[in-house]
Amino acid sequence: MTDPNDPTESQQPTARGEIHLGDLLLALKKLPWKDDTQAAAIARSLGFSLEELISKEITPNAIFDNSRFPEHQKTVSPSQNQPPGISVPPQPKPSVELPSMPFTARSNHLKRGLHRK
Amino acid sequence: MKYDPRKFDLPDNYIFEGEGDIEPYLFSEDIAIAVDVAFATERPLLVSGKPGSGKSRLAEAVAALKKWHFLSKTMTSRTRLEELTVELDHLRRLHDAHSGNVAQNGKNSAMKPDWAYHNPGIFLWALNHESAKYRGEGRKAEAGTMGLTIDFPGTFRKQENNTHHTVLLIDEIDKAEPDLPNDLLEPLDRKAFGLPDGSKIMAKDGVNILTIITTNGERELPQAFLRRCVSLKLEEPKKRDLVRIARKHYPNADETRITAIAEKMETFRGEAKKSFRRPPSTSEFLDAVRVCEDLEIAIDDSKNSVWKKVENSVLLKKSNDNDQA
Repeated sequence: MTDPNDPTESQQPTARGEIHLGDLLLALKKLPWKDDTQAAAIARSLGFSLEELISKEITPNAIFDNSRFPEHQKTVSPSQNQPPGISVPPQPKPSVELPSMPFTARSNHLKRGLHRK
Repeated sequence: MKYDPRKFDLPDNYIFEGEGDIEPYLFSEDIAIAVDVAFATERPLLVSGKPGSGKSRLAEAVAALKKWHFLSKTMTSRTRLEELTVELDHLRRLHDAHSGNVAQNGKNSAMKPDWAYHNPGIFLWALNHESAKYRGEGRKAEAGTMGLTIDFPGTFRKQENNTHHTVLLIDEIDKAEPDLPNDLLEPLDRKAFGLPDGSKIMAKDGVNILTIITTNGERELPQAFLRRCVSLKLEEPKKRDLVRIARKHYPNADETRITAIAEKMETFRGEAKKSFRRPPSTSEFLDAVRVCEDLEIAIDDSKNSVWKKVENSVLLKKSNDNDQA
C-alpha cells in the first residue's frame, strides 16, 4: 500500500482506455496468424468485425434513434388524418336498426302549483 | 492451417489434459486465438456463453497451462468493488474497540492499527502479492508477530524468480448489480485502485495478470466496459467435439454410448431452437454420460425406459407433468 504523502508514490498509472485500432495492429503484429480466417478471428475478438456492425442494426438502443426509421414511417403523421376536435372512438354499428328518437327540448322547471299546498 | 498460440503453450491436439482437480478442457481455434489476443494486448477477456458451456473452466485451464496462480470470485447481487479490492473489516474493528475498552481502563490494548483490519480481495492478491499477504507492503515482520498473515485464497503455483503472475476469474458478472462493471474499469484499466484512506495500490513491477470475466448474458453490460474487453463467445460444441470432450473426461466410457448421447444432444438442440427453449449444455451432457456409465444405462427410446427418465431429469430437465402434457 502506498503513502499518499510521498511524492514518489503519486504517479498515476496511465489509463489505456477503450480498445482501438492500435490494439488490433499490436495483436496482428505479435500473434502468429497464418490465414485470413485467423486474422479475422483476431479482429473479431477485439470488436472489429462486420458481424458486429450488422448485429447493431437490431440492438434495442436503435429504437431511440429516429434517423434509423425508414422514410415511409417518417412521413406518416397520425394527426393528419384526425378530424379537428376531441377524438372519440368509432361507434360500432347496432346489430338491429333502431328507430330514430327525436329529441325535444323540455322545460326544466316544475309546473306551477305542484308545490302549493 | 491450425493456429499455434504464441502467448501460452497449447498441445497440438488443442486439449488440456487436466491437472489435479482441474478437469480436461478442449480448446477450439476461436478460444485459442481469443486467449492469445488477451495476453498480447493485456486486456481482460470477456467470455460469454450459455450456462455449462465451460466459461469458468477455461480460466482454470489457462492458469494451469501458464503455470500462474489462479484466483476467482463469483459475483452475486450483493458483491461490491471493495470485496474485490480491499475491504475494511468494520465488525472486527468494532469488536476489538469494545473488548479493549472493557479490558483496559483508559488504554485500549485490543485495538490494532487500521491496516490490520484490511481484508484483501482478489485484485490486491493479483496486483501485489506481498501487500495482500501481510496487509501492506513491508509489514512482513509486524504482521507475522501479530498473527495477521493471510493465506493465498486460490491455487498457488510456484513460479520462476519468485514472481506472482495470476489468472483472475471474475465469474458471472451479469449477476452483479449494474454499477459494478463500471466500478471495475479503473482496476482493470490502470491496474490500480484507491483505498478509502486515500492511498493507492498499484501493480507491482513485472507482475502479469490475465483477467477472465464470464457472463451468461442475463444482463446487458455497459458499453464502456465491453469496449475495454477482448470478447469470446463460446459456441455449442458439435457432435464430434462432444464425443472428444466426453472421452477426455471419462476415458473408460463406452464409445458407442457416448456417441449415442451426443447424437441425442444434437437432436435436443435442434428442437430447443425451434421451440425457443434452453438447449442442454455441455456440462449436462457430461452428467448424462457419467450417469449412463455408472449405472450402465442403454440409450433406449422406448417410452418407459430408464434412459427416458435420465433424458428428462438430466438433459431436458422436464417434470413428469410436463412430459405427459
